[in-house]
Amino acid sequence: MALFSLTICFKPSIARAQQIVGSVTELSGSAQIQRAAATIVVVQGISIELHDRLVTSVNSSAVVVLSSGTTLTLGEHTNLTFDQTVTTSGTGRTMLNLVEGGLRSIVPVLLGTQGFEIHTPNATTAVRGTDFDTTYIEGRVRPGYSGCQRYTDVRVREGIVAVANLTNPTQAVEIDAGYETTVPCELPPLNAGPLGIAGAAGPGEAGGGRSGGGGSSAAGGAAAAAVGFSAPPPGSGTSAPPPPAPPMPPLSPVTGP
Amino acid sequence: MASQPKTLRTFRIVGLLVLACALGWTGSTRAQPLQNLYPGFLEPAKPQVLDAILFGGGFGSQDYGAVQEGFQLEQTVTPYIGVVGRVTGYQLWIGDHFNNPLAPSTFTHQARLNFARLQGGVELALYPGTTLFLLGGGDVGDSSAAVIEGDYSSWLFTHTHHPLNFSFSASHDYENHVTSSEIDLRMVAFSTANYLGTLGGGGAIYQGGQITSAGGQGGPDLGIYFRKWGFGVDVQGGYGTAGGFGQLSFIKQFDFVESGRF
Repeated sequence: MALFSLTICFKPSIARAQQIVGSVTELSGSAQIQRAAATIVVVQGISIELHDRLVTSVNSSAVVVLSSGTTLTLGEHTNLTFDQTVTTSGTGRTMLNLVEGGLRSIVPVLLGTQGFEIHTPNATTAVRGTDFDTTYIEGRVRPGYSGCQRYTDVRVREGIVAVANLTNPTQAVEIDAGYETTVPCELPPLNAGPLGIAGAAGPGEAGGGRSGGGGSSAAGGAAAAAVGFSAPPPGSGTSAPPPPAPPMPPLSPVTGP
Repeated sequence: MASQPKTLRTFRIVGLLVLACALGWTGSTRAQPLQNLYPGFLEPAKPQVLDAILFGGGFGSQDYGAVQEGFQLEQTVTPYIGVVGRVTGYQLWIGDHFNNPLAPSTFTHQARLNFARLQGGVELALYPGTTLFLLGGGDVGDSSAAVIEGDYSSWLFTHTHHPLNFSFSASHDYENHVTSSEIDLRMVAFSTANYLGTLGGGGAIYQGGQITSAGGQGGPDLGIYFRKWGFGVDVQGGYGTAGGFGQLSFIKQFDFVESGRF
């Protein structure tokens, strides 16, 4: 009985000791936080604590602002844990674990000792002040990848992101703004290609199939590269812009003006 | 007897498209066994996407000018097959010195021909970055032609900073018996979060019916795409059978994801 009393008295103090790392500032649809053994329904403004797991449902999205100033936009069906984060005045690194789905990260310029990393089951991305998307897709085969069913796609809008496979973290590929890459299974990251052309998927996009990865314009800019009528990119939605009929000669030259 | 030339032309177009496909295929950076190219071939596309594309532009040359405008709807079916519908309006002027491709009637010319082209068909994703549209349809208005068209496009060297796009488009008009084709090769000049610019060159060639010897034109082109707005502009100039020419094209793209993300 004494032990039971101790337990119920101690639990709240454990909860209070948890570090708040940010909060959910926007929510569309529904999401849940898994905190230890508890499952909490997310409402706008709810705090995120260290080691929380945030899961968005289908057709849902959430925006999380971390104490460090980083803004995370989670797409639908995304599963993200907050393994390690810095506070506003802290130093160290922010480490997130993207188990499933996709998110956009807008990272402010970090101090010298700070870092920001996103880990997926097969890749790691490390940045210093940038805006980029990370998407992890599992269980789907893409054409041309020899049956691989795990992909991490990274799209960079600002700054530079170093991307590596977890099996070989030293073999990193640096991705500049305006470019994207894919990490398939245990292979090293592919060389960077222009956004919307190199076949990477963005948050909320399935990837694979006809576009080789890119889906709709959910990530902003996925419809890239439709320059000219007949220059469709693989990542511009799922299809190509319409080629026009070629410039036509007079239909009946004999009866011209 | 009359059907024989038509059949021959049809075979020529199909042959050219097959050749274009083969060129694009061999140029792909990854040569994969066939079984890896089409995983989930018969599964419904996931997500299902409806694309709506508005397009327009103008062509002006010393001998004739044309304005076109229209829209296209594309619906995914499987990851590799989609259905396509396209409606295009054409205004064609015949005369001389159409300096402004968007207002060719500036010099008091009146549109010689006004017609709409209604087309439907399939879109085939032959390989990531490589698509082929096969369309058939007909004209209404000042033209009543039946037309067939094939549009092929392939991105090569996609995992470099300057991928190449090769596109080939061919159509045959069963009224004036003219076969027209257009070939373009473009390179990504730059890519940023907001813009994508291309440089390249290409041209068109046509022959058939009253046009007994092949005609055409060609020249460099320049394009820019605004990712945020899904809007692209492409300009081309050059010289050919109809004299000096200028061409302006634009598109606006909308994507509607219907279901089944991830």
